[in-house]
Amino acid sequence: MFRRLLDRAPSGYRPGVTLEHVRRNLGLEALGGAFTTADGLRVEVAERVESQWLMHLVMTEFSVRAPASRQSTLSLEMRHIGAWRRTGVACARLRGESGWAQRVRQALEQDAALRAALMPLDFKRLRVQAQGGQWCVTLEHMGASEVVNQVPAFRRYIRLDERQRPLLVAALTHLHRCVSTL
Amino acid sequence: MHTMSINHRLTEHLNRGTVGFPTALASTIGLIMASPVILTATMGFGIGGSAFALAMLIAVLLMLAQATTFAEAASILPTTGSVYDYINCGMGRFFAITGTLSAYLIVHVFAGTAETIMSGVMALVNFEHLNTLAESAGGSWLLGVAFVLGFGVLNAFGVSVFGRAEIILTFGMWVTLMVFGVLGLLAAPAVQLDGWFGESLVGSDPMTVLSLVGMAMFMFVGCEFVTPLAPDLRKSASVMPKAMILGLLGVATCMFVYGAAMKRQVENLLLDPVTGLHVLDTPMAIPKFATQVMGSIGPVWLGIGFLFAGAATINTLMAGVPRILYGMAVDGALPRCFTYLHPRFKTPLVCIAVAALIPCVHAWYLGGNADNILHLVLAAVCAWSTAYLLVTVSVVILRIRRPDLPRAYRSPLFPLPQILSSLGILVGMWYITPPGMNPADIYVPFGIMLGGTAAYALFWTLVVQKVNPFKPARVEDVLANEFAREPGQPASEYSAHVSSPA
Repeated sequence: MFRRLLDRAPSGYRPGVTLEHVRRNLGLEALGGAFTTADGLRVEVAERVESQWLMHLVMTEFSVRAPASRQSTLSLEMRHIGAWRRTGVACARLRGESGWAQRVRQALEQDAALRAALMPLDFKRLRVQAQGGQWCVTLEHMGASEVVNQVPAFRRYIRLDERQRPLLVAALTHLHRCVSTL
Repeated sequence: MHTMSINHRLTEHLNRGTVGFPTALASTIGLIMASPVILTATMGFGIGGSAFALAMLIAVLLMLAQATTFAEAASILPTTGSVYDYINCGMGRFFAITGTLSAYLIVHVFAGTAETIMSGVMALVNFEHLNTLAESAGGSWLLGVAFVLGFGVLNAFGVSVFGRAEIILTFGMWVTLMVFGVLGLLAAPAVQLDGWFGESLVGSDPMTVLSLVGMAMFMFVGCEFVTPLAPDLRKSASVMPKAMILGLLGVATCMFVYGAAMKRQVENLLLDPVTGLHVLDTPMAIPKFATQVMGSIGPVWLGIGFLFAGAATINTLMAGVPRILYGMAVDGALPRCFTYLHPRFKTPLVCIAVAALIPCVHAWYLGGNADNILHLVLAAVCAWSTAYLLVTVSVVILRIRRPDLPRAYRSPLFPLPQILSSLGILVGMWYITPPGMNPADIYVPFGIMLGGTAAYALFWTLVVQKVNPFKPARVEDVLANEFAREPGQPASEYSAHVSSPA
């Protein structure tokens, strides 16, 4: 029961409302949990809720999938590095065999096109995971999120602006290409 | 056919949603357990005794009347914009911007600073040694500032402290107050009182009671905050008024029990004959009460309770406000520097710094003086009352101008509750200064903030938006905009169904 109390959705959470903002923000006719880019890449879209005291945040996770050459599990996280300004992109292993992780890390860190797309992209989380013979790359952007506050009472959607939109699609496309060739 | 279309869609909208009655009730009650509210209740019962209890009853009646108005407004416009949309449809954008900023921003500037100052004072006053240490270091109010700065830093590193603990904190505070209240009533009294709440120190004539209504109204600040949940409540037209009424009565019961117990257990000694300061006018009353009720464990329990409630409230401010500022900067409403994100943690550092500085600088400007709390609280009540009045006028205007609108809930005995609540609020604002306080200390800061807000609203509507500031928005347009945001509802689809009144 205690677990259920902790896991319950925050009061005022309306599933799907933020995704509808995302749909309009991306200029899509329909979303329904996924959309396809101009290059034919299928991008899955899901909400992630973060609960706070009398407030919650709804973030959007963008995911792409590709077949993996191995069945084993691997989990890596990518992030920007730098103390004040972004100086590069680093990849860290969270779980899985270190030799394989090292090869994937090198491939991701050394891909110039991927780096060019990721450097100006305001992503908050980027996880590259392999499980059951499938890659899943999940990216959470700072935009495409919503703040729902009760005191003072308001909700605000944070836009994915016109500069970030093509970068997001480019980053997902290059990530998909990279993991597909591994 | 068009009206049927909007009616059908509105009913469907009101009946969907994912939040039930217990959550709505918890939301209403949870909002009220803030440190400034507890201190105001202690002071109110301290100076007013039974006169304050009467003032609280009047405040409950006013708020019940006001709740029916909010419920009707929410049934016409079950939007997430709530107060803004109600006033916009009734009186136009100028009043909508002024009213919304008054209800949320100005209330927040005053009540948020009060929370910053009081969260430290209320927590530490229960720990004698820590309090002495804090006072020698500059004052226990600095703990509130430390909370703001500490949570600001944690949020800058992307650390979420109180995630998933919302329900536990809400009920924890409510249960704490009820337990202490009931035990205080059951225990042998330390003070012999006339009646449940004792005699008033400032008299009990009608004028005095009216001067305490403003203070008493602060006990119920936030009951209207359930309205932004309107689209989330299952069958909100019938559930929401009940949630408001039960929320108000729940809070009133809790405060009556707490007030009666406090007066029975803590002797209201005169501390300073020159200023007329009594024990119950100070936060020191809290540990005295806790010790009397539960011995040495009492102040520890209450101290920890206030510590968590204060910390959680401040953490919410530090997590939410910076994101709002960031969103405004992305939209171009704030300078580009507000969009700066830390490379590694992806947190909006400039926004976090600004959000932390506002309450800290305000508290520092006031010297962290707990004597200023009541001024801040009453100025917040003025701001909040202004928004209430504008909502009531808007609902009355809509009844007269648009009797055809579908109303899933109609305020009973219209316009009696509206007249009663508006008159009560106006009288409460007029007599808001309690005996012994300078009215200028309340009206001047409130007047400056309201004047600034109104000037901004006029500038924004006339110069930036280039619209008639006093032209009310069409209810159909506002609803169409709201429904268009619903999942699986393309924007163009709904607007085709919306009627266009002459």
